[in-house]
Amino acid sequence: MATVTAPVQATPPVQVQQRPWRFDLFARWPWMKRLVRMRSFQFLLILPNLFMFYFFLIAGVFGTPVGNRNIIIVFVWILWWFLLIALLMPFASRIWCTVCPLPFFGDWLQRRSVIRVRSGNSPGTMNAFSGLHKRWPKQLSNIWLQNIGFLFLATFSALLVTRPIVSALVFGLLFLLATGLAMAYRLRTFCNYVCPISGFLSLYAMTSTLELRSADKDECLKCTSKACIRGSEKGWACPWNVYMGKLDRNNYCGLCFECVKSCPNDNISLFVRPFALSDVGLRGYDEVWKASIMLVLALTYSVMLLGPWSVFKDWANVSEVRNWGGFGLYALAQALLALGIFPALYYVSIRLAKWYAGAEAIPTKELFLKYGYALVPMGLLAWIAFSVPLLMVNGSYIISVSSDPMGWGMDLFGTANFPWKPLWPEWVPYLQVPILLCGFYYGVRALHKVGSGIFSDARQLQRSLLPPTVLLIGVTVVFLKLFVG
Amino acid sequence: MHAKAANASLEVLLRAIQIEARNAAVYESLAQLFQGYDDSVSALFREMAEEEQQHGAQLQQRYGERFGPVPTAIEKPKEVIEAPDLNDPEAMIFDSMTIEEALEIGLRAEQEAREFYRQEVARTPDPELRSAYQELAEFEETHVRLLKEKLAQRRGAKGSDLEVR
Repeated sequence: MATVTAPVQATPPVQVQQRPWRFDLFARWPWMKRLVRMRSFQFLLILPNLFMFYFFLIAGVFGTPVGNRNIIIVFVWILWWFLLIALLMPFASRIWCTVCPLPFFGDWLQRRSVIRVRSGNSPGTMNAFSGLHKRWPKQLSNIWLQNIGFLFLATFSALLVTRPIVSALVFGLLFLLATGLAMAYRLRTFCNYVCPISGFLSLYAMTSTLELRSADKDECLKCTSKACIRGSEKGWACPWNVYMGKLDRNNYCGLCFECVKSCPNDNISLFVRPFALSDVGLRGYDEVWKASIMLVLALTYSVMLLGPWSVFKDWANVSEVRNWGGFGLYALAQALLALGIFPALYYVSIRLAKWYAGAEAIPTKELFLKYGYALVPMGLLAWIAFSVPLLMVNGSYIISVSSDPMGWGMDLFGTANFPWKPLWPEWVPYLQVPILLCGFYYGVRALHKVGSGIFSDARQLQRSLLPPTVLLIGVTVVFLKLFVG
Repeated sequence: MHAKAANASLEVLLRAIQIEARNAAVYESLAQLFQGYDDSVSALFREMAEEEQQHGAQLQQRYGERFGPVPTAIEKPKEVIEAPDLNDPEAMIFDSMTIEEALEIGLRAEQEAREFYRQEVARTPDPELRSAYQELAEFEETHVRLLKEKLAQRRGAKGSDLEVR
């Protein structure tokens, strides 16, 4: 018997495009599914990370204040950052959230268990949760807090990435905040709405070649328990509050794999998919502004750290230079650029796209949100291009700090005196340029894909693509100028 | 031939009974999902669950009148007819579910069911079976009308934006 396929007009929250190729990892390698179905799976991953995190905090407080001799600075801001942005984000989605130690104690207090599931009927779920389990205010149910939080931290990044005590304090505060919010509010409120790291992970996870999805959406339609979001005796209710039955983008799936455990129909699987062209729908202004903030920060960091203008570096480095006027100017310019000027430029490009395509019937908001996705692959690749020299120039610190993590004069592996030695610095531009051009390429491909879902007329489509493409060219040229002079 | 048609008609009715039972369970799950989150949405889904149970009871009565007691162990429906579901997988994150949207979920499901039965009426050559489908299409039409009225009340008599293609 035929199934009924969408006989009524519906407005899906995200533009549903024709799904491209995807490869079912669990079907090909069932041991992977058995692994993630183990109740202890996530705990076993988080535990070593938790010890490491604790050690980093100790190093931040009691270790040397010299940044490049302290493990919290070298491992977090050089190694972790590079792995996160250049490998995990494009190839493993939010796998960092699977192992992130920040929400560990909050989860533990909420669940009163680190491994086993407790059945029950805490409101909205089939599990027993502790704590107040309150609802997060509707006005804050978005990623604006994360946007502002990340921009704020980024403004003080010169302090954050050079002063171990500052890094320790910030991570310590985030840790306390995650735990406190878990006691007051339901599920992963901290991760969904507050964590500044989570904000950009949610955005750039859209580009990833990995996705956790239901294998057969019809199974979910027939499912009466909705255990993926409500939990069951086998798995906790989705900590991120996403419904797998209709999930069509990576943004808010933290890859905890609880739904794989709880699904009564064995219908959740891990898929490999093409890069940057699968989840192509931004759904709110908060997400577009997140894309703008990230792109602008990649730009200002490149100016500050890679550019020839030492004055900007001095302005940002307020703790050493003490030029508060310069710092104020830098902070204001960065905020204006990220929150006002660049979004305005993008808005103008969208208005021009509408006008040039003769598409007055299409709401500006719709075009603004949908075409906004083009900024996502562009931004991610710009960040990767920025991060490559960080690792190549400063990577040798990882070797020396491994032997002397606190900067106390230890020599655990005989590498404490490994000299600072940039790795093939002459190759940096040759790596940055193709990475950046990839960002531009995927940005344009994304525009075309989104546009094809909006415009049926080829001429209208091409015309609508021109202004935002010009903007992307402008962005690329500015970055190229910074990277290769 | 007549016995064969009666048997097919019986199966159609049985399947409709099962679908109503399944949907009642889905609505109940959705009601529980929104419990403590948005109690008004939760109450509406619970109301819909009760309505589905009533629809199921009406169909069971019809079945009983024609074919005797409804068998207790019948295969669960494999079709995706009239399957209510959340439209937005991130509705709980963005707190975006409203009563109107909950009603639309119900309305969409009922419209799908009505269309399905109408299509079957058009393409089924057997008169008895066609009559069974016709009856079910009218049954769903009543539900569509009721939900549209509720939606219109919520929207200040503006009527439903959902139109059948």
